[in-house]
Amino acid sequence: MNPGPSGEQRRLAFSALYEEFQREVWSAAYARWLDPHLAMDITQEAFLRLWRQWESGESIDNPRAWLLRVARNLGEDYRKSAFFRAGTQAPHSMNGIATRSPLPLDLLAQDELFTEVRSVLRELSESDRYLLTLKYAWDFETWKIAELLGISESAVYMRLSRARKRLADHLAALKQNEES
Amino acid sequence: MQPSRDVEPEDHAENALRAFFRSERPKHFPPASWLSAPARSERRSGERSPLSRSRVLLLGCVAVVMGLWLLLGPLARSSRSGAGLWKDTFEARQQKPHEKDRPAPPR
Repeated sequence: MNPGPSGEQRRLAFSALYEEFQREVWSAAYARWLDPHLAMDITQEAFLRLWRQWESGESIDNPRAWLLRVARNLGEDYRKSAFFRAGTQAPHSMNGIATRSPLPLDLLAQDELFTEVRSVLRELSESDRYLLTLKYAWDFETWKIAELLGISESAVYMRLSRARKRLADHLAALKQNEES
Repeated sequence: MQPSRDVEPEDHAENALRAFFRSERPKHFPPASWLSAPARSERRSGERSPLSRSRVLLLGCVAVVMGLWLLLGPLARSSRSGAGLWKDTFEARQQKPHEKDRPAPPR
């Protein structure tokens, strides 16, 4: 896609692209790392690189594919980085550390539930996590998810149902353990 | 956050997934459902909006009314005059020749 020589035209085209693909790029990065802050950093970096690419006069035929590819590469760079290898924990892991100030009971219960959801998500494939992110974080319609992933709608339904079943089993087992 | 007894386990799982992802997503990105509805060309084939469905219904009703009027109108007229439908039509044609068949008016 060539945004044209005009700066204003380029800005408008960039805004439209950002509006259209920000959720997809974030979802792809999030599905890879299950870290919303890192996914946001990767999303912003991917769009920044697109902008720089345009500024340098390069044209990009398929911005969506380009952004998703850059986001994936950025994720891989992060995996190889010293920051990742040093074993630094993501903020959600640090939330589990006990503090002196007591948390409200509801927040504790929610944290517990979300920890279970996160552990089930880790067991799923990256593509299933991507599908779930598109569905539950952004409310994409099933036909749109099928279009984005290049699969049939029935496959989307099947994979959603399988993920829900897995989580339901996990939560039921957790409840049984608590009761026994 | 335990599920109530009347909630199915999969519904509870779905609610948990929704709540989890909503807490994770960037708050300044609007969800996809807030965007404008897909254009007609973007809709799947066979999917119709409620508006187009109502239009089809309205056109269907108009077509049925017109059909009944065309069918029953001449029948009602013929029953009033006591003559048959075909006789009416034949006489009408006899009395109203085509414009091209009429002689030119004298100058």
